Amino acid sequence: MQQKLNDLCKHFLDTNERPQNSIKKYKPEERFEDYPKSKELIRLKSELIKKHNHPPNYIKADLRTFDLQQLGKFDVILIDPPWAEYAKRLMQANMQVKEHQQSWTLEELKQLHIDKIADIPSFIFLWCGSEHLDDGRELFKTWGFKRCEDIVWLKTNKDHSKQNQYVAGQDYGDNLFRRVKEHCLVGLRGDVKRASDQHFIHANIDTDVIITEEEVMGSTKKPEELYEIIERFCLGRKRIELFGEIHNIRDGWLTIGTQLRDTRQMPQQYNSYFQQEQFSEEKPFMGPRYLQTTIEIENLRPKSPPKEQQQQQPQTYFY
Amino acid sequence: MLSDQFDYPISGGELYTYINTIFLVLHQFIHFKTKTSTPYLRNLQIEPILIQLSEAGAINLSKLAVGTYLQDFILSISKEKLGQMNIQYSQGINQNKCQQVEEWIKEEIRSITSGQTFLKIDHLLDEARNQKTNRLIENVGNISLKYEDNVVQLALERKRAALLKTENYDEEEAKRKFTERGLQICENFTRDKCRNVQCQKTHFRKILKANTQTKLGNCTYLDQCPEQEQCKYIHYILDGNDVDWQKRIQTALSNHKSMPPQWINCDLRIFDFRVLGKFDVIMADPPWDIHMNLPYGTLKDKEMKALRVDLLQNDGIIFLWVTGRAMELGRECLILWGYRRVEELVWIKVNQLHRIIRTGRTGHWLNHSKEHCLIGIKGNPQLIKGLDCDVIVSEVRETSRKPDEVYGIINRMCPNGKKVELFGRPHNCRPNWITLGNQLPGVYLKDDGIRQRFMEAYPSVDISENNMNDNLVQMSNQENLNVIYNNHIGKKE
Repeated sequence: MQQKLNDLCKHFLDTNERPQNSIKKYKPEERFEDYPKSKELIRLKSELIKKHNHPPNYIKADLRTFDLQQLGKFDVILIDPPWAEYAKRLMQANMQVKEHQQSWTLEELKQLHIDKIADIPSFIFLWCGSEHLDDGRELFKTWGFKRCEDIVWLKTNKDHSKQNQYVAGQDYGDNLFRRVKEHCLVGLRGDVKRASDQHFIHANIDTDVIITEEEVMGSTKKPEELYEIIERFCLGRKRIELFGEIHNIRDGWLTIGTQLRDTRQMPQQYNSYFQQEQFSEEKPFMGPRYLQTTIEIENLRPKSPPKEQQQQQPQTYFY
Repeated sequence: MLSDQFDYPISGGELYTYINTIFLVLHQFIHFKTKTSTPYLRNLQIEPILIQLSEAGAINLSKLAVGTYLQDFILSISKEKLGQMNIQYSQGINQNKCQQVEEWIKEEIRSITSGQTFLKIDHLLDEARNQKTNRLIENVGNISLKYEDNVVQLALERKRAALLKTENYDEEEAKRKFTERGLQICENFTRDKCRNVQCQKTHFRKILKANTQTKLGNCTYLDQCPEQEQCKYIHYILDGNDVDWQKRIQTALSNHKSMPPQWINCDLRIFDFRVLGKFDVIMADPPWDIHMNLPYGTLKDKEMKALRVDLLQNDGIIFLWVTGRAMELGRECLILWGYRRVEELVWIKVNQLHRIIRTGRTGHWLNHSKEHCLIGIKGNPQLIKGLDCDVIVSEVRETSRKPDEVYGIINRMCPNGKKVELFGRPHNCRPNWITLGNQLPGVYLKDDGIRQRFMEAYPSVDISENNMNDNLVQMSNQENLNVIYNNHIGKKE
């Protein structure tokens, strides 16, 4: 068998260093070194987003009983459901599954009326672990979304002190691999065109790979970078997160979950954030529904090439 | 005058101190190394400086005939005289120019030396610089670029020479060291940024050409750049090592005893899969119709679903590469062919410097830095589970060429299995695999059973021993592979 000597997959077998450990300059602060244009674009975008983010809103509520429809329609929905995989992980680590960590079945998740709070157009970001990719797709179908991206979170194990031990002789069932990544499916509701809907999305700024160190055993905390990707990508300012915990509370987001300490949300005040025609100088978080753009950003950001005539498909069949 | 050699006025006496330091080290280096290194020293074009120094009496040269080795003509160096010259030239110091000369000398030496000697020079220069802290390297200018060009030329010559002649012990050693270090790429990438002179990791070196504009930053495609000669962005080569080590590994491993690579050139839409028998592993990288302008023809959804992949396996595993909307389509196909999806392998595409490829409008909404491979299981195959992880990190190569790591994963999961690859190209062919596709040179079959059935099913195809050997020659011809590849992407020679 021909094999590369720098085969990082084989290296993983020998040393337990995951392949993603070898990737260089992936951290947000260093990834655009030597790429000055991208660096400037990210800086401008982040500044603008930060300026117009409304103060964090959150509601302590149980989603089984809470009526989501009263909240209105949203542009971005982020969900990290309590999947069975998370509970299974706890059990494998001999940790107790607490009440709030009890998993929801697929049927229960389908009962959530996401279709009622999703505007047209809107985007959904759904964490699916590594075992629920088909379940996630089924939820999308139920809620009326079309999957359009798949963001992968690579978990590094550079910190050897908290190595999650691999148990020898364990029955893997259908598991062929040791899981070192999680997926976040992105769904689209309605029809968005990359070239013409520039008020709603700025495409191709970020990439679909996130790399961070693995969380401690039992944690379901997700990398914060996803928020940044979402905020830079979708200009809609009404953003909601379901099944959020305290660490999920964030400027520019409405967070709902049972694990929050209290509630800080008044429907009227919340809606007033998005009803102005212009962003005001005194209260920059009050403004229109969609974030605007600046000339500098427009000059820097990647855009679709002008519509060309569709190329003739080659007649011969090659692949 | 020395300045005539450089197109700009040189008056810095410190230059001579530097040269003195460098020559001291060079002197050791020359005696230390074999004579093969000296042509490069000669190409340094420092003879003019030597003459200048010799005329001033600072060094003693014996002869300067063309073709002389450097160690022949430096007999002694007079430190006193150099000191005197220092004072003589100390008025009207042009610090920037000194810096430039220092830089290019440093670069030149870097290009021809490696290991300890090089580190020592760097270290000495660092010390020298620390004494004059106010200095900043500003405008390296055209002169140093000219010399950079020479460096590139030298590197190319060396590579050519290395390919032609048989490897001597030194080169073997260097290769071994490099392969041992493997992917220990230094966090700082270049020696310039890496202040640790002891750093044993692999470094890269910037290729600065006359048209390079450093403020533009790195080229997005790096070594994959189709127009490296004209590209204004920065490119890199490996520092100290530019030997094609991958090729060597491939040849070393090719004597592994097993079934040779086999292949059949066919139209998979109409090929009768029953000819092939049953397999333990299937891999396929189909040309999905993903509604984009691709450099190759695609198969319609209907045609993909109609493929009789179900005939190829009773109990087994399938690796199916998917992208874009094919992620859903591939799942449908797997179900149709009788599989249940159990894993999703992800290949993270990195560039030469092992950074994620994150620009270039590669996806519709976000940029795509990865490819997915669905893994389905049918029946109850015997597999070794739980060894590998579900992530591959590997460098990008030609369009749609998938990483070789996946073959390693398959081999570890199913070491003795029979393996078939659908929609394969010549580079996919490998021992123990049967590759099927329409860009392969004819038919090459060694398995008697399959050969017998193939002859019965397709009597018109000539699979005589002679013809198959011709095909083998075609396959092994690297140039031919390029022709096929270029045809495939519609590029002309």
